[in-house]
Amino acid sequence: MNTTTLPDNAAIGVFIVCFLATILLGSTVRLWRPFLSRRKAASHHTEGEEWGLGGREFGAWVTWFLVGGDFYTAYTVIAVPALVYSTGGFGFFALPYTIIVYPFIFAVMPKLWTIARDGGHATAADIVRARFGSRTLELAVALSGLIAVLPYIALQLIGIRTVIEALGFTGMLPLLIAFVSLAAYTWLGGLHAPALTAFIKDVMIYIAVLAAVIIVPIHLGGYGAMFHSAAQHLPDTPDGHILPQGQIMPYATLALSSAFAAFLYPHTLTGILAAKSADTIRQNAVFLPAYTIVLGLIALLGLMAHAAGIVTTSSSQVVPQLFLAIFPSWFAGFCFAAIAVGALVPASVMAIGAANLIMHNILPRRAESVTGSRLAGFGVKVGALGCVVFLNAKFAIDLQLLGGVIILQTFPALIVGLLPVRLPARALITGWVAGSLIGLGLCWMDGLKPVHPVAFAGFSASVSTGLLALGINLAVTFTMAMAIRLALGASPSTLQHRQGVQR
Amino acid sequence: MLIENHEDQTRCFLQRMADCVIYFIEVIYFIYVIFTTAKGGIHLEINCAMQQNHCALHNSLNEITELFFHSGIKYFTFTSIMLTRGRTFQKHSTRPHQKNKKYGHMKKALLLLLPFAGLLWVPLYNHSNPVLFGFPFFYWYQFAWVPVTSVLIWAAWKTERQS
Repeated sequence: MNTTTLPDNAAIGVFIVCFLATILLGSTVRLWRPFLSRRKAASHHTEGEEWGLGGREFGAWVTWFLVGGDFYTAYTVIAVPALVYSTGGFGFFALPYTIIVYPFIFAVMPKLWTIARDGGHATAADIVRARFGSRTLELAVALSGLIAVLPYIALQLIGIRTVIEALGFTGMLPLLIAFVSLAAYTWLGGLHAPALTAFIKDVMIYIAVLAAVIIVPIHLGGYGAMFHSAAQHLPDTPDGHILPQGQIMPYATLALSSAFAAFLYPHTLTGILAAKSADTIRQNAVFLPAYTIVLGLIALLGLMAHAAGIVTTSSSQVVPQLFLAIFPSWFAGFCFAAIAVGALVPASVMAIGAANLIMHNILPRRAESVTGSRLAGFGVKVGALGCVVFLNAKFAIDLQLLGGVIILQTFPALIVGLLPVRLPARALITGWVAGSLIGLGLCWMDGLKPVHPVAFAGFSASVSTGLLALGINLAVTFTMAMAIRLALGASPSTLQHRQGVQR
Repeated sequence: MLIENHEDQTRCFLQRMADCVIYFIEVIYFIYVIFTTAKGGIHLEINCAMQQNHCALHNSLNEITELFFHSGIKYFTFTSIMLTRGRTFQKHSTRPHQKNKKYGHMKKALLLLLPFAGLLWVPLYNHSNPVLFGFPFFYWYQFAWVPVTSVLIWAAWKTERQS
């Protein structure tokens, strides 16, 4: 039985006003931005760097909104509660994941930013090419990024479509609206558009979520009653535990692999590289966890939906249905606009990150024209639209899972490459090929599940496939590095490298 | 009668809150001690003592015990925390000066690894008691790690600037 509630005109009106206002503000960012900052735009940036990295001048606040805006996507608002709705406490792995990612950012990203600034790099693949001097490795990293981010953009389009469908429109129209608004917004505004409208997105999401976490428990008689009644709808767990024994390892390893993968994606890395200084990033590692609180509250919406008696077969409709059930319709419209704008901001950053990859790394000649970047960004969005139209939504979600496995294979080149260990490019390429193939193969054999059962020395558990593939990748890389070093012996070139490392 | 009852409830509630906070500090400190033990190979006996305290306190939280007994255990725990803490710092402060930079690095790494240990070791928090504001332990423990992580990163940043 579906408890579907249809909204009235008030909801649609509020949604259209909020959504259109944000798109207009973002698209015309070139016209009104000079009024905000009295400083003249720095002249030494090329127009391409201005469009693709915002001129590398975002301070602590803008970075906070930009990274928070594109890391916590609209898909998060829809998918995390959906997972909690269907699996209970297990869906909460998003919380440890988005906490442990910050110590990781603090330790790694300032170094990466410094390298990128000194070398004038805009993408992960740029950094890798400069460090290892290998065009093949650059292509490998760039292709991984592109393949991983495409289904992610598709999911944002699905996020916008979900709320437009919840407003009562059906057919291809919602998708078309989502696509056209995204295209106009990114084409005209560049990275400045999401950076400045991320502020609007955050305020709207905060209002929606805070209203939900205050109003719903009042309806249901407090959080204790909420947890209690939600527990009755979920599978039983023995003696006071929340997770059953078999879910403990998947919970921990999924959190870890997601945290490692999160900031390898082109869109999150673009947000980081656009910061003004390394200290801006450190400062953000301290203050960005504020978003994680909101994410945790959003995850609770999944339990609240159970307690509020929402029954739906399509789990992505859990949050829209909950909003329609508990809020007056004009406020539900506002919340939907928040989700739609929340999809626009990250999708735009993703398209820009992917366009940077295409223009800088995949095309053979280094082209530096904004129109080219815009066209590449547009092409990426058309690709994402194709993902939505020709593959069904279920497949887009699976593809995004595979994307996580793929992007994790760039970890050795990008992050381990920061350590003072000289890894030869050939070893990294071999590791990348082995990790990607085995990771994708395992995913395929398991029927597109994120975890793979492992049995080792009388101990068996399910481990995140991405982490498993990364382990294989690292093992192959280090073995190859050793083999290459042994084969070359004490040739002058290796000796020089070693001396360089010791210094 | 009614007011008394209300007062009683408030006291009960406050006590419960205090228990939860202390329990959380206990868990974090427990992880910290294990880390330092693993690192330096010292304080093994303290580690064992901490573990026993930890279990004792945990059990005592699950049943309703008398206030005095409770505060006795709390006092004991806190004393042991203060004692080990004092010893740890003493140990560190007597290190040679030239090792300070290396120590700074170790401290930074330790601060940044604590959230990993506290959150990826799931059996540590995979239970529903003690409940706080209606939130089962599983949920509020993870929420509580958010501000703690912020503070730890900030501390690591400060350490980095000093060294």
